[in-house]
Amino acid sequence: MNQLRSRVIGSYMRLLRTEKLVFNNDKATLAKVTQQARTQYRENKSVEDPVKIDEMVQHADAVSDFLLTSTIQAVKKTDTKFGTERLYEFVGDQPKKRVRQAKGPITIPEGCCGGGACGSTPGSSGCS
Amino acid sequence: MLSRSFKSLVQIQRPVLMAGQSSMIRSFSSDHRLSEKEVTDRILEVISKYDKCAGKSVSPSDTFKELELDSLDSADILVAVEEEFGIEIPDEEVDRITSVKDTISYIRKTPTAK
Repeated sequence: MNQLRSRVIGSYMRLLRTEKLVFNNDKATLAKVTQQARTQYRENKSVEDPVKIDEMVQHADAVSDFLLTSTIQAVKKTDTKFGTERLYEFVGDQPKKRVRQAKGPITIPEGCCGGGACGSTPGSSGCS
Repeated sequence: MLSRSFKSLVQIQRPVLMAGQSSMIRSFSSDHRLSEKEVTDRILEVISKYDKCAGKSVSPSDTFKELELDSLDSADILVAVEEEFGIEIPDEEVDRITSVKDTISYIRKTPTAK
């Protein structure tokens, strides 16, 4: 139970840190999201079911990850230009490079190919 | 003879320490941690700014429980302390910090606190 409690506090602190990092210069939004996190954690303070607590901690961690990896805050620089106040580094959100398999000669497997050419229904006992 | 002249040719010019420059040189063995008074003052300021502690007199000997703060409130305060000193307190340390005194001693022993 103590370990679970520490996980909850850890996820709460992580969420607060993330919100401070992401909405650093937007005081109004920062106050709003911080208050929302506080309210939601306090609302669920009486939950004792470990499975439910675990689900909620995972949800909070997912929110932290989302804010860190998928949110960019634009700041109005001039009337027509927007920019960012900090550098964003999105690591791991790019699709993985497909490794091309070396092309070789086409090999026909021994026995039934599964195409029904042997006269039996593929997957049936008659089909080898 | 030759070796002497060669020595004078390749003699390394070492910078001369001028008077008043000594304060710019920092030895890595020197202790540059924040003073206890400074840490205490800054932490007490952070805690007294917290909504639930507004109007209360906070002393370094108080525990979070005595200040009627629950675990989420203390987490709020520790995040504010992290921001104040530019550090990140690890989760296992968060469990151990239960009073103002613990917070002060943690910051004192953290060399990166500024």
